[in-house]
Amino acid sequence: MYPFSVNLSVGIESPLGRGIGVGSSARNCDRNPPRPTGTPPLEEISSYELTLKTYVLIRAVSEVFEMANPTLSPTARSPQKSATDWSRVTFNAALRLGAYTALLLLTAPTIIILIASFSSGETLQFPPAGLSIKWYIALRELPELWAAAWNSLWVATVTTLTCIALGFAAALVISERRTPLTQSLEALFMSPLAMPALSVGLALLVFFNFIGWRVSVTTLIISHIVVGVPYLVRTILVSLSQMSSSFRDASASLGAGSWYTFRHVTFPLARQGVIAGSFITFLTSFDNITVSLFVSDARTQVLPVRMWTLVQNNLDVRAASIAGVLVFVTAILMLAMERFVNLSRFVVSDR
Amino acid sequence: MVNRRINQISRRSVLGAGLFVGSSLLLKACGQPQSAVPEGEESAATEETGGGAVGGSVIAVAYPGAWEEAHREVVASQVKSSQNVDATIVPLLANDQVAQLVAAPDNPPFDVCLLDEGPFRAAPREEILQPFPAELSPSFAKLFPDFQGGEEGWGPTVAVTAIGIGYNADKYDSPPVGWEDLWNPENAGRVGLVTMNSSLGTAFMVEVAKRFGGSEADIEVAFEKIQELLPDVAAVAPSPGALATLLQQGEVDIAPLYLNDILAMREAGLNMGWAVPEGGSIGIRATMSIVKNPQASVEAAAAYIDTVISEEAQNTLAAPPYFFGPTNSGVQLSGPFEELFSSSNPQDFIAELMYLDWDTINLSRAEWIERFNREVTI
Amino acid sequence: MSAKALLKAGKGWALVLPLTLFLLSFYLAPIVLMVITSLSPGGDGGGLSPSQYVKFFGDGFNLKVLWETVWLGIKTTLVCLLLGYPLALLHSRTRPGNWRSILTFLIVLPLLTSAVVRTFAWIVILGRQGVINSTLLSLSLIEEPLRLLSTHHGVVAALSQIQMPLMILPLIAAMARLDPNLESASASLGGTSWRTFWRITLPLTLPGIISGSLLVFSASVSSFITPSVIGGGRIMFMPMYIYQQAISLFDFPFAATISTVLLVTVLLVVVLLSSLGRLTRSYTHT
Repeated sequence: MYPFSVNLSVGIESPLGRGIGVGSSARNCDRNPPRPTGTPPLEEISSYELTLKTYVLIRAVSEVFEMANPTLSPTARSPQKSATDWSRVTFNAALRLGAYTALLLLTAPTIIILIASFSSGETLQFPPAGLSIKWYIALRELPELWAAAWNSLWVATVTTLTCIALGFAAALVISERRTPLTQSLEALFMSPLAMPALSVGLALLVFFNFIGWRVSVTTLIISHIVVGVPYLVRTILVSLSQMSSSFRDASASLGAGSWYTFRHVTFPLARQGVIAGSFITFLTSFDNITVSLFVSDARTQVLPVRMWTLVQNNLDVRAASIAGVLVFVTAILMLAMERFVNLSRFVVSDR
Repeated sequence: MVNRRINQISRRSVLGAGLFVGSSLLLKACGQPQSAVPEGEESAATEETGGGAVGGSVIAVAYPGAWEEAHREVVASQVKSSQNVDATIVPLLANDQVAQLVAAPDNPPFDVCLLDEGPFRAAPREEILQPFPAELSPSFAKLFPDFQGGEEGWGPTVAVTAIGIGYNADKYDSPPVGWEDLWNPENAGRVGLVTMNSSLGTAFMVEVAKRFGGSEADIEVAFEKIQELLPDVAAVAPSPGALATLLQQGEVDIAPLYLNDILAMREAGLNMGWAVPEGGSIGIRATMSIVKNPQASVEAAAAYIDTVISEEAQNTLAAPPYFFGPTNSGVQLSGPFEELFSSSNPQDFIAELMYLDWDTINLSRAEWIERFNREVTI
Repeated sequence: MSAKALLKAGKGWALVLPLTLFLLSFYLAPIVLMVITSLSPGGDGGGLSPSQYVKFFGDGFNLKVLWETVWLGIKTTLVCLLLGYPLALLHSRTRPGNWRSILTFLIVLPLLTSAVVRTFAWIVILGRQGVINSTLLSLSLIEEPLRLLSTHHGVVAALSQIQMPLMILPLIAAMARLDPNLESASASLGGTSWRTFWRITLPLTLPGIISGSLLVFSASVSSFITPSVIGGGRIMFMPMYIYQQAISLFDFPFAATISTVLLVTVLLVVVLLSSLGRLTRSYTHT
């Protein structure tokens, strides 16, 4: 089944063509050989706009996973050889100038903040006066920060688990039937991504006030589910679309019950989508500030909101050391995910 | 192979368990959205209160920046050790506190609020605050009489802070003399301001108006002068704490600032100056009150406020690195604080300051805030 | 179609119900309520009236904020495109291997780092004692530190870094679908590198450009943290305006109005760009 794994990878590689257009392309996925790149993809235009953000994030995550498995990526094309000419030299120079400027812009802030966080000085400056880890040690004396971090962790975990449950169930139905109803449902599930998050936050606050619910952890989790569930629905749909319904049909025709089929066919195949989607949903919730600002109060303050106040009012090296911790944690999480998903991919291709 | 299968099984069961836990937690949470009990109340009710300690927990507000830091380091630890009360400090500006309390008077998001005179006098106090139970506060009697909350008794004045001209002493040969100095050409691109949402911003604007012929009732002239100043303004901070940060980072070199912020920076080794402007420095009195319908017990909230006004805490808060003007009669000023006002008696410091007529200011403050936000943005 | 099959179908639909109901009650209903709130006349009056919208559009200040917000989105999108396109092209021309993996990692990293952290880094860079100013000062290119924080340029620079992955990733996808034979054919027919780029590469990656622009634009105009921290109190954009009206002034009807205007603006641009995208896709794929 190794080719299947490759197919999966290609599907995630260019979801615009195959992954996002869950519709008809999903059905004959296994009957047709993978289309050569460059041919028109079959697309569901209606959901296309709304799913772009998910797509980018899926892509981001799959790119990271791909790092450990570079052979799965499509062959790169080196620029075609031609006589060295003026045009080529200038073109390459321009290309590299732009690309390296962009790289510098992308990476410098993270590196600078990491270096600044190890300052031994009293004020935030770059380059730092000297190196020390005293500001990391100083973090221990910020109990409110730890409470907020714990709140965030808890909210993100519950949000992710609930999103998996809600999203998986919905994605199963949508991936199995393509009717106008499921399509509009899908558009509904995806649409929170296209909304300005602050508008959604305000709307939820007005709504909770209206029905008389006070702002609490519950309202916070509900709001995070609204903005987080599209990612999971999307990633699960993408991974389910890689699987032909004939798998399920075959399983059923061999006499397997639907629960058995789900456990042994559907779920294992959708696992990658679940994991990737959970990762994104978790990070989205953990980092959410625009919605949390509205639906959390002093008692339920989350880490990003707390950090925002800290950065604005006590701009000192501690803020940098918190940033450092978060960068480290994210990097570790990424490595862990890579290992995890790589493992499961191996299991899938081994069958 | 066996290993792999175990991996597979455990992973699957973990995910399965996750699904189950997730959905049941959701159901549980959704079942009782109204009665979700915050940790504070639970522990307040269940915790053993032995040995005369009050116990419980309380959520108190402090202004972002120096206040938050000081109340967390000094007050929270002291109220924990003396009364076994767990205090959580939440950073909020006075106007935001009032807005949040007015929005949800039945479910206040915090138990103790900290309000400057302006917002305090403007707030619908009967709706959101409860009278301070002075009998629960041994330190209350030691406050200067002016600071005991008057006849209405909404709560004690916990600190007096002074507004003057803060400047980066590295960049000035001689200290500024008056507010007019902000308009000096040498300060072009170096002036920092703060929005009128804060007492600092409003007091500054009123004072500027007074210097140029206006009054608490009419600050039109201040708006005109600010328009003049705008090209020279380097930044407008959203809060006094943020303004102090801007000065510290060198974004601005001169700004209206609280004395305690400047002294704290000096304590940290920065060469900052603070000048009493011609006409005097403005005093801002901040009071603390227990909100209506607090989730903490009134005893715990009162114990927290009592700690803020206690001689022990106020001595620490008036000393380096905090420098809050004390309101407890037993406190002595020391260090740079004492030098600046050449007296160790807090009463001399308090008498030195000018106080604004906030009742008059409040009549048009909302309008001014909106106008200021419009005229200084973009 | 047996009864059993029907039953099975019904059972299948049940699975989609929880999420549908959840989003209907906690997403659609709030949005509708917000729009209704924006139509409330304010004060104690009842009924629906467009008075909040009249107030919004009748005031030059509000229009200016709206325009500044859109303009911020446009500028950020252009910067992201101008710098992101070469990087995406470089990525797609790099052989799979360590260097390409590192490139991928560097592109994705900002996307996964906390928004507050990313913004915070920019304070260190743009400050008067920040990286840019101290470098320029030490090179004696300037005598006085430049003011970069609290300026529109500062906000655009920070936002561009934060949103650039949203531009690069769709571009890489579009380039991966590009038929390499086209480029080599152009080269073998004597097309210069620039010519090949303008005539082949750029037009064929237009769908990627449009997807990326759409993402960057909508993320920029609705971003809150970066403009508020980098821009400070002097610069006002729609999201901060919403926050100020709702949280500091508790004027919910007006906040809802600003919010609805922002929402409609974003959706308009999304629809416009994606129909443009559809057009270019049908063009590039024939």
